[in-house]
This record gives sequence, C-alpha cells and structure tokens, in this order.
Amino acid sequence: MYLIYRLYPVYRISRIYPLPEDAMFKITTPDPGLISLSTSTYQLLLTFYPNRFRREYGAHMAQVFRDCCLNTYRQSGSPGMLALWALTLFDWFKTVIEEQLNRETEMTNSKFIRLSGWAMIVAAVSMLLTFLADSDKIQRGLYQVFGLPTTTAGYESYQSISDRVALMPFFFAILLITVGLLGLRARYGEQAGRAARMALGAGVLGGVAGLVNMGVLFMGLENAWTLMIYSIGVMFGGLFVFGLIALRNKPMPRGNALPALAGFWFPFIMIRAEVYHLVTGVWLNVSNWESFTLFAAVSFFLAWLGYVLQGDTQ
Amino acid sequence: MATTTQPPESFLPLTPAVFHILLALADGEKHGYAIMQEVETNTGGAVNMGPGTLYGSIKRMLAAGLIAETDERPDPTLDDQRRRYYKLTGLGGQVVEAEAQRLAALVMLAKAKQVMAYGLG
Repeated sequence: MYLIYRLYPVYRISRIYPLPEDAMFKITTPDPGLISLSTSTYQLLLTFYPNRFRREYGAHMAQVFRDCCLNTYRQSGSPGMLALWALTLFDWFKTVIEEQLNRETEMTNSKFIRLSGWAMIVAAVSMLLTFLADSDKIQRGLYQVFGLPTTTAGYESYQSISDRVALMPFFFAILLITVGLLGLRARYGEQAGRAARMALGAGVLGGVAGLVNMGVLFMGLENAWTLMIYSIGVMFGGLFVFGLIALRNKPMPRGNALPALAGFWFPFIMIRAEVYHLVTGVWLNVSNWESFTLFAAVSFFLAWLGYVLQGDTQ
Repeated sequence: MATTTQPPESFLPLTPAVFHILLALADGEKHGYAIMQEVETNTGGAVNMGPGTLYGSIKRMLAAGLIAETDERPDPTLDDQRRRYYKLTGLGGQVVEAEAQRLAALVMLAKAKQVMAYGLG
C-alpha cells in the first residue's frame, strides 16, 4: 500500500484509498520552489520567537508549516498558498508577541524567586545578628562611649536607644522573610494548593503588620510591642502551616520539611508563654539559652530553605 | 515531581485553541500536524490555528499538566521519528470534560431562554 502512495499523485490515491493520518509526511511528492521558498521564509520568521521556545518547538513548527504548505498546494495551488501565508503571518505576529511577553514574565518571576531565596538567607544572618545585638551589650557599649548615666532619665534614655539599635537587624530580618514568603508563594503556590497560598498570604500580611508596628515602636510608642510580636507570630505561623501542607503535597524538589521547621519555633514559644501566663498569671521568662535556641534554629532552617528556593527557579 | 492539586474547574473557561487541542487528543495520541488537521475538520474550517498558536498552546498545556509527550508510535515504519506525539493526561481529561459540561450548561440555558428558536433550536 505504501508503495502505491509513492507512485501515484496523492489527490488520485486519496480517492481510491483513504490516506492514513501520517502518510502525508512520508510521501515524497515533488517539492515545488514555492514550498521550499515558503518553508525557508517561515524558518527565518521563527528567529523572532524567544530562543528557548524556538529551540524547543522551532523544528516542529517548521515541519508542521511545511506539511500545511504541501497540503494546501495540492488542494488549491498558488492561490491557496497566499491564503495560507495570510493566516500564518497573522498567527506568527500574534504568537511572537505572546511568547516574547511570556518570556519577560517568566524571567521576572524567576529572578524574583532567586532573589527571595537569597533574601531568606540574609534574613537568617539578620536573625542571628538580632540575638547578638543584645540590649545589655549595646547598653554597656553606650556607657563606654558616652560614660555612665548619672540620672534615672539618663538610664532610660540609654535603654531606649539600645532597644532601637537591637531592633534594626530584626526589622531587616522580618522584611526579608516577608519577601521570602512571597517568593515561596510565587514558586510553590500553584503546586501546594489554595490552602498553602492562603497560609503564605497570611504570613506576608503578618510580616507587613510586624514591620508597621516595628516602625511605630521606633517612633517611641511602646504599646506597639505586643502587636508587633503577634504579627510576627502570624508571619511564622503562616510559614509553619504552609510547611505542614508542603509535607503532604510535596511541592518542593527537596526539603519539604524546611518551611515547617523554620516556622515552628516562634509561634511555639509565643503559645507556650501565653498558656503559662493563663495558668500562673505570671509572664514566662525566656532564658538566654532558650532564646539562642530559637534564633539559631530559625536561622538555620531559614537559610536552608532560602538555599533550596534560590536554586529552584524553573 | 511536584504534585498538581489544582481542581479541573480552576482552568475554566478554556481558550478555543486549548479546548480544541484537548478534544483532538481525547480519542488518542497525535502529533502536531494531526492535531491541527483534526481541529480544522472538527470545526469545519472555522478554527484554523497556525503553528505558533498550536505549539504555544502545547507548551502551556504541557506546563499545566493537561497533556504529556509520549514516546510510543502508532506504527514506527509509517512515521518520522522526529515527530512528537502528545496525549491527554488524567487532569487534561477532567478539564476537557468540565469545559464540555460548562458549554452544555450554557446551551441548555440558551434553549431554556428560547434564544435558539430561530434557525438553530
């Protein structure tokens, strides 16, 4: 049967034997100059598509276009080719713009995800700096530079300055973690599902609220402290819930436990302190050792999570 | 491999090109040109997509997990190995079904409102 196809013009054969779906590609029919010219021109037009798209699909698009040319030429001759070119040029113009815009979006998205991964790594360092910027040490530094205060007001003033200095790395850490949460949402939100996207969204809102309250605290309104702590609790809580969902849905190529491990500590210590306060009526005094464990664990898992995120932009 | 948990309804409404490609693949795997021909036949020539629209849609559908490439060939002796064949995934099947139901519901509504009484109904 296949030999018959090769020996007779296609239009006649197709009346006798229905052509199999793939026969058109295999049949070696005379290739008129118009078809060669059309195919070459189309291959030139393909250079306007983004490189990656062209590498992936260019050869197949040229092949399909050649099949279209052969089919059209057989059925309608040169006038049909004109109609095919009109359709193809319209399609080419529209899809070149679409693919170029897509490429821009993909590049921007992938750059943002990489940056957000690095933001998490820097946030981890800032968290450690926050622990190191212990207010007592800063206060002692102030004494050394400006001398010991002689009045109660002087002590309070030094205390206020040292509190603000200690908050600076924490401010940057929260800002960078918020960016990291946005990156996680952009990269894994689709795969992890709606609940995970909502958890990360809540985390981002918590981070933003924490930053606003920290700003208010900088301006001297001490009441903002509680709100700031709760907001940051929501931020880490969002990361923790996303982590729990990630453990089930596995949206990340590796380290699906990292978001839960990074998000766990802060809400855990907060809830423990609240429960302790409810039961005993006294606020829990977090020891230096506990505080160090909190900051070290959060920093370690955040840095690891950031490392995974910055390397998984595709 | 990441698991896609997106419900089929979240893809709706589909663009005409995506819907027709999914329909073309509903009865078996096909290569690009066969998809194009089937779409043209199914629509009586009304939808005539070019190679850019076809492969742009294929790229996005592969990324969304609606279709997948397949290495199997219906008959390797009758075919060029360079051709890529595509098939519907489970999610793609659910999405095309959901879209067909959505369109059917619209037709029912149009019938109920008697807007198809003149010439079409």
